[in-house]
Amino acid sequence: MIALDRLCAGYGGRAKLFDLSLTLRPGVLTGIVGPNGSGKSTLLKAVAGLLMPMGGQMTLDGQDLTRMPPKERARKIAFMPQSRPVPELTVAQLAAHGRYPHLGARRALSAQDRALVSEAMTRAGIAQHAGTLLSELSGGERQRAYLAMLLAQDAPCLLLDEPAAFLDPGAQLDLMRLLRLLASEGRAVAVVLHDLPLALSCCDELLVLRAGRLAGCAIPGAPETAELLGEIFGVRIVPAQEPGVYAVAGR
Amino acid sequence: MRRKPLLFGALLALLLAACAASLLLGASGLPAGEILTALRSGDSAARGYLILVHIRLPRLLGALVAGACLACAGSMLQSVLGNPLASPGIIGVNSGAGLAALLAMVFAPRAFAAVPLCAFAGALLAVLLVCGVSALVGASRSTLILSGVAVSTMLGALMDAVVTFWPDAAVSRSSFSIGGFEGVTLERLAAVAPLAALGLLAALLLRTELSVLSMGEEAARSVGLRAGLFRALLLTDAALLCACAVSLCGLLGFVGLIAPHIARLLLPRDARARLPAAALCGALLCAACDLAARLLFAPYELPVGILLSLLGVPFFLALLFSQKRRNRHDCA
Repeated sequence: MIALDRLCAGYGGRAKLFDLSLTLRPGVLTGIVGPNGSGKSTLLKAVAGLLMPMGGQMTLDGQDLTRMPPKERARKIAFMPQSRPVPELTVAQLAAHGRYPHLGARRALSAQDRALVSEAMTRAGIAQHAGTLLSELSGGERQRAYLAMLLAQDAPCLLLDEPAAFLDPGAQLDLMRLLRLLASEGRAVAVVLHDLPLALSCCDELLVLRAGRLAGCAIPGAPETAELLGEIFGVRIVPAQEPGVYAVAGR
Repeated sequence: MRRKPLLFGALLALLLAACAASLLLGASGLPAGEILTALRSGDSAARGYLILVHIRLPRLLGALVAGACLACAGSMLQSVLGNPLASPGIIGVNSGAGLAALLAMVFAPRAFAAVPLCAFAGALLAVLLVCGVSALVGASRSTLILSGVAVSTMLGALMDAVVTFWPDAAVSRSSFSIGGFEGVTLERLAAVAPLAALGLLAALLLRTELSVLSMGEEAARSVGLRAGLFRALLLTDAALLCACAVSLCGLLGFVGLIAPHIARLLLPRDARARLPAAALCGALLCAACDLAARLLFAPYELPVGILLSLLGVPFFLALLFSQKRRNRHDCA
């Protein structure tokens, strides 16, 4: 379990997150939502070790995350960043980089590593493009390649920053089903989403950020959730006819 | 699956052929048979033996070492800086090494061992300067190239200033700035070879980190790579390799741009094999161009730097156009 206690973090000495206390629990798919600039990506980067906290504590199963060596941290927390460049690598090579924190001094992939990479590509739905260069893929396919790298990391905590961007609606639902499956396997999964109906229909709980602070923790389906989200985003959350499905409407 | 061994075999065969031709043929018009006879007889006073051992062999070895060093450095710079147009000549690393090497040659003309070390310091300073300027301005692909051109121009002006204040350096300056292998001696090679071997070995050992770093800082750090440390190590190694090449052959342009791209064309889907392939391509390119420069207008020799520039400029422009096409494709 990842626990944050009064965490402050930011860029260049300027804080973007203030006194954030929350937990990411195993077996739970947590959606992180909030208006632009509310600190969603900053939160994931801080937990993944890409930003040094300016205050507060971060622990993983009681261990101080800030003192954990980068490779050990990457074996426990896999992070898919929002910016996903297009290096001159094939899908299989990119996915294999997910095994980097597990490699020994020779940096050679073992048979087990190869099997995990292959399984990760299959689960991400990109195995058919294993030998294809990233530059030859569409934006959505590249997204799946990065997802394969995240899965190949085989970490108990998964953090994904806007993984649904560039995906068509069907692929977005496939992705969320996969994340739910990963959570049901006992992983703690946290995902930044901009699509409120998708977040409400697929996540177990939502952490709502506003101006770098936790505005609330919402449970999809709870009566106060629509009110909280409506207040933060300035919209109306309307339940659709089908249970568990929502729509967003203007005020 | 068999493509890689076949390709490396073909590159090695071509390299061996270029080496043999480079040892047996030259601008002097000395028949190849005389070289072979001198070799067989072992007569160290024979003209063929003297030309082979004291002129053609150091020159060939210099071309092989400098070509491999520049190609590896170019490949590393392109991956670390995320810019396919980056090369030691274009972003000013060679100029930094060149200025420091020129100063070493002016102030310590007999201290061969000092030249590569000074060139290393100069190359490292140039890398820091270019990276610092482009980070301050905004590290986009074009700002990196523009910063490199600015730094390169400034260092070139400083080289001219050195020549103005110490005119004795003028003779070495002109051949040094064009680049060529005619000045390579066994003493110079002995001073540079250990450093070049160290740099090439480090490049091979850091291949995995280079590939991980090519994903960009955030993705690289997310898999546990100490991105800052390895970027610094790789840039230092690139600077060392450039310094070795510049100490041997002066400011030879475009090898660090052309060879990595040829390796990329030959092995588009094998990132790990690309670095050794680029080193072979660089060595082959330098050996072949040096041979061509010697034979094209024999008995006159064309400085090999001129030939490489004639090849390199259209190559650079073709790359620019392909980048533009790719950007358009990515936006579509």
